[in-house]
Amino acid sequence: MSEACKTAFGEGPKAQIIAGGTDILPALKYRLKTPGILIDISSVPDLDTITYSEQEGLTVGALVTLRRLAAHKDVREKYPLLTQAALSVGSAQLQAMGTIGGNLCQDACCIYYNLPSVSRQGLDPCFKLGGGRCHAVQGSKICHATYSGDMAPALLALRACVTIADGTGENTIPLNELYSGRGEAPHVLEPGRILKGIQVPPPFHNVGIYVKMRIRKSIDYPLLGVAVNLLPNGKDGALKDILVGLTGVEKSPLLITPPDEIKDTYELEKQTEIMAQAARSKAHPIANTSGYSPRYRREMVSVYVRQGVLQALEIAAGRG
Amino acid sequence: MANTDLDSVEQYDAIGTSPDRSDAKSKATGRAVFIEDMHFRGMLYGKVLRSKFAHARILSIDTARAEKMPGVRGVVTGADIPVLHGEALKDDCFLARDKVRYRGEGVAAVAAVDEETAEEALSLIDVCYEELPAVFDPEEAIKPEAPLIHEQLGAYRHAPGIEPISGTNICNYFHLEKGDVDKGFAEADLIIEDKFTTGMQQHCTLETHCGICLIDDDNRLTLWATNDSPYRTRKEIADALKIPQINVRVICAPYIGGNFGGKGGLKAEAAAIALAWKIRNKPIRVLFTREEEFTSAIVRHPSVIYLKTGVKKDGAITARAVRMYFATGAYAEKGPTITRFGGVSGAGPYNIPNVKIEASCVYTNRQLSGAMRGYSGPQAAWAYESHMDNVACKLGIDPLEFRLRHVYTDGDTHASGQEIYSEGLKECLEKIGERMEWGKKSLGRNRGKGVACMERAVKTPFGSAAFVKVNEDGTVDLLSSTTEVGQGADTVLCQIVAEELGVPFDWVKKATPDTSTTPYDTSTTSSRSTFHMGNAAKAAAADAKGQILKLAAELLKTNADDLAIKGGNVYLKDNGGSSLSIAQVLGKHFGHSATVLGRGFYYPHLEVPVEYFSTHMIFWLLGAHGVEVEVNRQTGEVKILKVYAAMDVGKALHPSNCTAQLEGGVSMGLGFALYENFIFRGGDFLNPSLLDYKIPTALEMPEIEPIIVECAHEEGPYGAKGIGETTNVSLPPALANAIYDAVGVRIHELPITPEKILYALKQVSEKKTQQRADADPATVGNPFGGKK
Repeated sequence: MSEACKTAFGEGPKAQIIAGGTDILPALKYRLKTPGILIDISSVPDLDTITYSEQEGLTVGALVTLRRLAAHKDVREKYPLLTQAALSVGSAQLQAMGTIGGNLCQDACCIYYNLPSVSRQGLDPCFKLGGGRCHAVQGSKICHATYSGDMAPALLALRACVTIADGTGENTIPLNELYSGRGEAPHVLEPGRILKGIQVPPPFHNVGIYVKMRIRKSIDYPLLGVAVNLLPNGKDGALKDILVGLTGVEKSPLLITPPDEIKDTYELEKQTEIMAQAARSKAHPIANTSGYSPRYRREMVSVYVRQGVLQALEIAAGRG
Repeated sequence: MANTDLDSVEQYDAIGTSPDRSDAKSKATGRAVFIEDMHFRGMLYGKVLRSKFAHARILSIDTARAEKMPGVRGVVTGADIPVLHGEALKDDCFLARDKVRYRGEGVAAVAAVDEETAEEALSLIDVCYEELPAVFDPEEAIKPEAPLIHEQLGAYRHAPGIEPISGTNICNYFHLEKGDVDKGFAEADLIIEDKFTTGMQQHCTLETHCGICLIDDDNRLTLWATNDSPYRTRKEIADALKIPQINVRVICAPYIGGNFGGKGGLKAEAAAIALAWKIRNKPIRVLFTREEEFTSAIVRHPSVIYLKTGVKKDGAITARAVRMYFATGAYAEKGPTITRFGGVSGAGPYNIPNVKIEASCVYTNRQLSGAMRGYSGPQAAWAYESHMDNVACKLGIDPLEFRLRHVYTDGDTHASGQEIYSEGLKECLEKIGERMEWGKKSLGRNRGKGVACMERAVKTPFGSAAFVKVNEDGTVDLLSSTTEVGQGADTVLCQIVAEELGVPFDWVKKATPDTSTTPYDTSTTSSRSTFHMGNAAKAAAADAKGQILKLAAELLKTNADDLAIKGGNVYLKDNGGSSLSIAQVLGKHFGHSATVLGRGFYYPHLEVPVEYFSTHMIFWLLGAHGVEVEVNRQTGEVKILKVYAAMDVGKALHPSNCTAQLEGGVSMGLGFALYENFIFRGGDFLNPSLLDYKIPTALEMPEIEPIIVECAHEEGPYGAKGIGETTNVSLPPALANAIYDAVGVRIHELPITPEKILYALKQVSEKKTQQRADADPATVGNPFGGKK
C-alpha cells in the first residue's frame, strides 16, 4: 500500500488508480482522462477482506467487489441495505468487477461530459475537461456534474467511516467528509492518498431500504437514489430515529439528518413528511442526465422517501 | 383466397417442424465468422473525420499534415470521388462535398496501417467551415423560410413514382385518395382529430457497420460487407461509379450480427469505397464505432402524424384524412419509399369508404433516417391505433369491438384500391381478445388492458432467384443471396429445399451470398425472404427433383410420375419397397462426376401496372398486440403485467423461430414505446452510447404470450408469408391504450415516460377538480384524483 501511495504521490495528477476498472476504463476509452500511468492496486494485500463483530461492526476492504459484499453472510443478515444497494449498481458484470472502494470514489457524471470524443467536438471544453464553462447550467461559474454512486447513500445512512492511507500512515474520517461537493473532482483524495477500507457501526435494530430511480432495471446510474435507515417502534408507532442518504441529485451524495422538529413529533406520517421535505429541499437535480427532467426527479425525492419509509416499516413488521 | 394445396392433409417432413437453427451451434460456440474476424494480407484501416456542424459550407480541407504522418497510406475527401449514390433518390455523397448537412457526416477519411494511426491522423486534417442556419423539425423544414438543405434536389436522379418537390425540403410527396373525404366528413355525426409524434430509434445491432473494399487498377471492385442485400448494393455502387455491374463483386461475411433494416445501403461501405477508389490494390477496412452507429449510420424516421376521422353515432366510420411527415435527415436514404409505405397504410387496416392520405418525406439537418424494422409501420400504427381508441372512447364503444367491426377481411377494398385477400388480421385480434378475456376479466385498480393491430406492405414487386446444387452423395447446396442476419432465413430456406426435394434437413446447406456465385435477390428486407426466396428455392428444388426422378425413371424403367423422393431415396409411389438413393441414381448415370442443378426464380405478378414500388402488395404483414399494465399514480411508472403478441404468418414453417420473432419484436417495441430517445441540444447529440441510449435489457422483458395465426397465402411457399419485420409495430399503441384504460390519460408523443404520465394525470385531476369546484365551490380536490 505504501508503495502505491508513494508512486501515486510521485506521479501526481499524471497517475490514476485502477482497481476493478469499471469507472476508469470508459473514461479512458472516451479520452476523458489521459493518464500517463495507471497504478493497479489489485495486488495490494489484505484489501479484499470483510470482517464483522458485534462490538466493532463491519469492516470492508476497498478491493472487495460489490458482488462479494452483497453475498457475504453477515452483510446479508446484519446490513441488508448494503446488499440491496450493491445489487442495484450497474449490472451483474459491473458488480463482479467493480469494488466498493472504486464505487465510493467514482467520478461524477454529466451527459455533456461523458461523451465519446467525436460527439464532444461541437462543445467547448467544460470545467470538468479543464475548460471555462458548464453546458448543463449555462452561465454557471462551477461544474455541476452529478455524483451518481449507489453505495454512498446507503453507507451515509448507516453512518459509515472510511480509512485513508497516505503511505506513511492512515486516518479515518466520516464518509461524508470524503466528498468535496465539486463536480469536477467529487472526492477529496489528493494524489498519494488511497481509500483503504470502510467501517460500518454495529446495527442497532435499525431497518434500511434503498430505492433507486432509473429507466431500466439494470445498467443505469441512479437518476435518484434514496437510502432510508430508520429505527422503528417509537411511541404510538412513530420513528425513534431516521437517516436518509441521497444520490443522483447533487454534486455529492447527501446525508439528510432529521430536523429538530421531528423529535417533537410523535406521528409517523408527520415525521415522514418532514424527512421527505427535508430531502427534497436539499436535492438539486439538473438537466444533465439521459433520464427524466429535473422537475420530475426533484418531485420524486419526497415520493421516494415516503416509499422508502413505508417499505422499511414493512420489513420491520415482517421481522416482528 | 383458399390455398388448395393446403386443404389436403399432406404430412410434411421438414415444414412445420423446428429443427435447431443451422447457425445456432456455430454462434453459441463462438466459431461463427463475422466480418471483424476477416483479415487480409496488407489490409489498411480507415477512419472518418466527421462534421461538427449540423449545416455548414466547407470552405477548405487541408489534408497535407495528415498525409505526411508515418503509417498513413492516404487521405480522401469528397473531391476525390465526386459522384452521388442512393436507392430511390440519388442525393448522397460518399464523403461530403461543398457542404455538410448533419453533425457526424463524413468529411474526409484516412487509411493507415492500423486504426490508431488513422484516428490520430484525423486530428491533423484542417477543415474550414462557414456555419449555415440549420433546421431539425420536419414541420419547420417545410416552411417557405426554412433553410434549403439540398439546393440541387430538382436535378437529382430518382426512381419512377418518387416525387421530390424542387426548391423545398420535401424529397418525396405521396398521396392517395379513395372515395370522397369531403362528402364522408359531411355525413359524419362526429369528427375527431388527433396529432401524434414519434422520435428517433436506432437498431443497436450487436455488430456495427463494416465494409472492406479493394479496387484494382482496372476498376474492378470487391466489397466484403455486413450488408443485408448484396445485389442492391452492387447496383448502387455500379450506378454511382459508372462501372459495369460485372466489375463489382459484393461478398457477404458468413454471418451478419443483426440487421433490423440497418445494414442496407452504403454506410461504412461508403468510406471504404471512397478510400479504395483513391488507394488502389489494397483492401481497406472501415469499421464503425458504436458512436458512429448513432451519429452516422441510420435511425428510424421521426414523424408527425395528423389524423381526422368522421363517424356516425352508431360507430360507422365515414371518412378519414391523414397527413404524415417523416423526417428523413440530411439525405433521402430510404425515406421516399418509407413515406410511400407509411402513406399506403396511413389510415390503418380498416375498411373506410372515404380516405385521403398525404405523406411527405422531409429533409432535416439530422443523421440519416432509413429502414428499420417496420419501415414506417411503427410510426403509422402509433398514430392510427392510438386514434382508434380515442375515437372508440368518444363514441362509447369498446375499442376491440370497434376494431373488429372495421378491420379488413377478404373481399374488402384497401385504401390503395387493391382487393384484400389472405387477411388473418381479424383472427389475430379475436385470438388476443380470447386470451386476454377481453370484456370479462377485470384487472383491478390502476390496471388496464389495451389492444392494437397493424398492417404493413411487403415491398412489391421484386424478384428472387436460387440455385440448388445436388452433390454426388445426395447432399445439397442452396445458392441464394438472402443474407442470414439473425432472422433465421438460412434455416427456413434449407427446410423448404429439404421438403421439396425429399432429403433430410441436415443434408442441405445454404451458401454465403456472393454476387459472383449466388444468384440474384433484390434484398433481405421487408420480411420478403421466406415468401420470395422461399418460392425461388422451392422452385429450384422442384427443378432438381424433376431431373433426378427422370434419371431414376430410366434406371427403374418406369415413369417419373410414379416416383417420389423421401429421406434422400427415390422410391416407387405405390410400392415403397424398392428404392435407390440419390447418390446411386447419379452414380449409375454419371460415374463419379455427377451433379444436378436446379434453378428457381420468383417474381410476383400483379394485375396493376407498376412503375417501381407498387401500392398493391403480394401480401400484407398483419399482426396485433394486447397489453396489460399497472400504473403507479404517485410516480407515473408503468408496470407491464403481460403482453400478447399475434401475427398472421400464413404458415409457420419453423414455429419456434416464429415465436422467437414475436418475442424479439416485443423487446424492440417496448424500447420504442418506453425508453429509447435521442437527446439533442441544437445540433449536438448527447447520448450516443448504449449506456445513455436505453434499449431494454432482459430484465425489462415482460411475460409474453405468442400467438401464431395461420391464414394461408395461395402463392406462399406452403402458404407462408413473412413475420420478422413487424412483430414490434403495434406494441406501443397497445401499451398506450392500456395506460388509458388504467388511468385515463392519453399520451400522444413517444416515448411514454413516467413523467409524461404523471403530469397528464395531474392535468386530468386538476380539470376534474376545476369541474367539481365549478359545480360545488366548497369541494377541495386531492391532486392524485381524490382517492388514496
